[in-house]
Amino acid sequence: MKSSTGIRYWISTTNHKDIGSLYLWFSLLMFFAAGAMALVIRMELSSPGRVLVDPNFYNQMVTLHGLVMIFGAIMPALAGFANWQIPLMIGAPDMAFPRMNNFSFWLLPVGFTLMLGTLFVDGGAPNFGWTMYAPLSTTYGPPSTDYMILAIHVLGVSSILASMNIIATIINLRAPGMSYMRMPIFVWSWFITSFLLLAIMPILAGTVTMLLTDRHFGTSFFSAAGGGDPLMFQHLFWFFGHPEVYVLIMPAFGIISEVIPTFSRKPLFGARLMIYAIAAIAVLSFIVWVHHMFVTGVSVWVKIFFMFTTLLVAVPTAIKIFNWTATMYRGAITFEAPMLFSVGFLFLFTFGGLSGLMLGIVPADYQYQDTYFVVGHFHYAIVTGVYYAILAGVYYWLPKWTGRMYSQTLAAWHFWVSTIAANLTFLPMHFLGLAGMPRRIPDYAIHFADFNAVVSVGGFLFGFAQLIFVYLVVQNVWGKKGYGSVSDQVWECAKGLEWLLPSPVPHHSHDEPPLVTKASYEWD
Amino acid sequence: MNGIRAPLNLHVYALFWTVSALCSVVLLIKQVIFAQVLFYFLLIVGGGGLAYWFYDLQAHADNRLLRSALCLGAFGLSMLVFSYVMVPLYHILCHGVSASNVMAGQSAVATVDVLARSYRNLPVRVFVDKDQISLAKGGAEQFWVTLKNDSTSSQNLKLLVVTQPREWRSSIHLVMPDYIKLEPNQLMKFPLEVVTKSPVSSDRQVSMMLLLQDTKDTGLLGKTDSWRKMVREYQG
Repeated sequence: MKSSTGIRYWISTTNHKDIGSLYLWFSLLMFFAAGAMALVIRMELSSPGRVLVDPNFYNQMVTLHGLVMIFGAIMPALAGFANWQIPLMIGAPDMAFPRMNNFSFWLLPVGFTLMLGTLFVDGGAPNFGWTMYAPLSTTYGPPSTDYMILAIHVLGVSSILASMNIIATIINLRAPGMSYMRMPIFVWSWFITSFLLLAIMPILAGTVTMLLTDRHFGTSFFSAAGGGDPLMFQHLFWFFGHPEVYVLIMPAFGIISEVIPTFSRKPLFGARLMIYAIAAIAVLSFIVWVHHMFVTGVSVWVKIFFMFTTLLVAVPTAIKIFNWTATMYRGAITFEAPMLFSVGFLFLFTFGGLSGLMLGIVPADYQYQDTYFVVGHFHYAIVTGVYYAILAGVYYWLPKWTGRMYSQTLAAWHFWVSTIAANLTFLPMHFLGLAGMPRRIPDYAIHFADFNAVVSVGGFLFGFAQLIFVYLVVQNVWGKKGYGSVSDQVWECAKGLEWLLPSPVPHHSHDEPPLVTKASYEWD
Repeated sequence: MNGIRAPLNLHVYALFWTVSALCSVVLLIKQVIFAQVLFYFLLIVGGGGLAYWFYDLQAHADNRLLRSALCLGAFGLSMLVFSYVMVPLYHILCHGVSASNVMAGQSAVATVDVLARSYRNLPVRVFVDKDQISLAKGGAEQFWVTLKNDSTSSQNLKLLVVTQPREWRSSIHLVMPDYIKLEPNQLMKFPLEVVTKSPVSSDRQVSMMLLLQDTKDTGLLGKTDSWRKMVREYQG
């Protein structure tokens, strides 16, 4: 057997569990890199006037924070779960294309070296926001924009290959008896997400290639002077960008759908409806993109159509929220760390979703557009939504992966400090936005000072709380003193094929495909 | 080979198509007659060939994993193509096929917003004496353009005209100077006449922008150092 400590082993490993771990560790690293950028931003905004960095560098931090968090932290974390869990949950010995899986992961460090390397390029890193709007990224983009475009291409290839692998695995490697409708909700969520990724990442690749040719090869896709239209960039970008939001949230839905039934000790309420709701959200995600562009001068009828479709997304999302709540109703609930984060997700993601509805209403959006209200909204959706689901997932499956329990007390501290800090950080952003504070500015009027000070304190507190998480994970994986070994099932009511395997999960699992007779959400 | 057939004629076809596509792009840039037709023909033939190749591969793949990968790869590739298809689609859906498709009656009068700008950091100010002009088919409208050179060096300039919707550009004819030379601190005023060649629409929002640019094309996309200028400007 090969040693699992050498660098050559980790570079060449094709085991889905190893690659899942690589994704998760890489994502943790990127969380801290992008988190440090967030703290630079919050330090600069902690009081009016110039505090720490010059405005150009501030803009670079805003841009890289967004890009690294989305492409470097959240997506790889979710891909890590997919790699670890999908083969275990469907009874497959590994992913369909193990070598491609390895290649998909190792493209990530290459992409992010290019992306973060832009900080050292003459003129600094890209400074136009993660949305890369033309002409800021064409005419006025610094030279490092080209590195960023190449990085996006590399990351795009990684995502496309990973999604192909996941789809091929789910279609071809399910255990006997594991029909589509018997697949766990987490697997379903990744199945649909992978199709979504496969559809949108090439659009982003095409769009940034247009940016590149506009910058260097004399084309005018986004230049009005040459017959193009800068507004078209926004259409193309958001045609990718809005489904991308659902790429982040749908696997999170999958994780929550696994955790809540376990700790409510009840089967998932309306499981099939949950699957249909995820599919409906995926379809609707392609016809809502103009809600990011209500103030760009699109016609009234277009606005009305997209307002309608945007509000329509609330229907399947509400179905999911109600089903999770109904699952908990009259359940024998216990609040271990995964459940704490899931309940936190339920409340705070719903809050973020409601402010999303406010933004989806055209006349209201005229007021909120480009203010801190938007920043508050999407941070509730991403941080207390997707990130909380990721934490719930780690706390849920980590004992299964390592065979050891972690400190529930410290994990509860992690939850409560994070939750208080997140609300301290993101709730006042709504008030700032309603009062008219624009986003993406390094300085602001004096009357925004108090709330900004609160937001900055909350931001630093949130960052500190994540150190507890790192301590817990490191202690669980490498610490000599654990909190006891766990049984195969780990949690009393955990259901599914992965819980039938020994803890920790052996390096090679499901060598003999198990026979599936019912869905994991159908309890006796 | 895992069941993949890669016959020689496929490579020959791909090579031929790539060379032809490159040649047609060159011809297109050089504005050679029929180059556009040739370009689109090759695009369709190439796309069809590629689609057939994928179909052929997956039909003959003896491994179902490989078949899945090929189908998914083809789907991803088609989405990449779709991102480029969206470019003409956007102009058709958002700007109309052409101005003539939405023409109102022959007697319609269109109101055109007139804007004037100098390109990026050009030290020349430009003004027009009318913010709006009204145009009917065959009608002509005149307005005055004032240029002021704020620098201590002479400027060689040219005027570009951009219209929104862009198809409108072909339906108007402007009588204007090709090149303008401005001495240091010179103020210049000249008339500019707009003549409409085709029927106009009265139900659309039309704007016309005069864009003043130096003859060396400084600031053109791909040749710009404007990011450096911006940094310099910020640093004072």
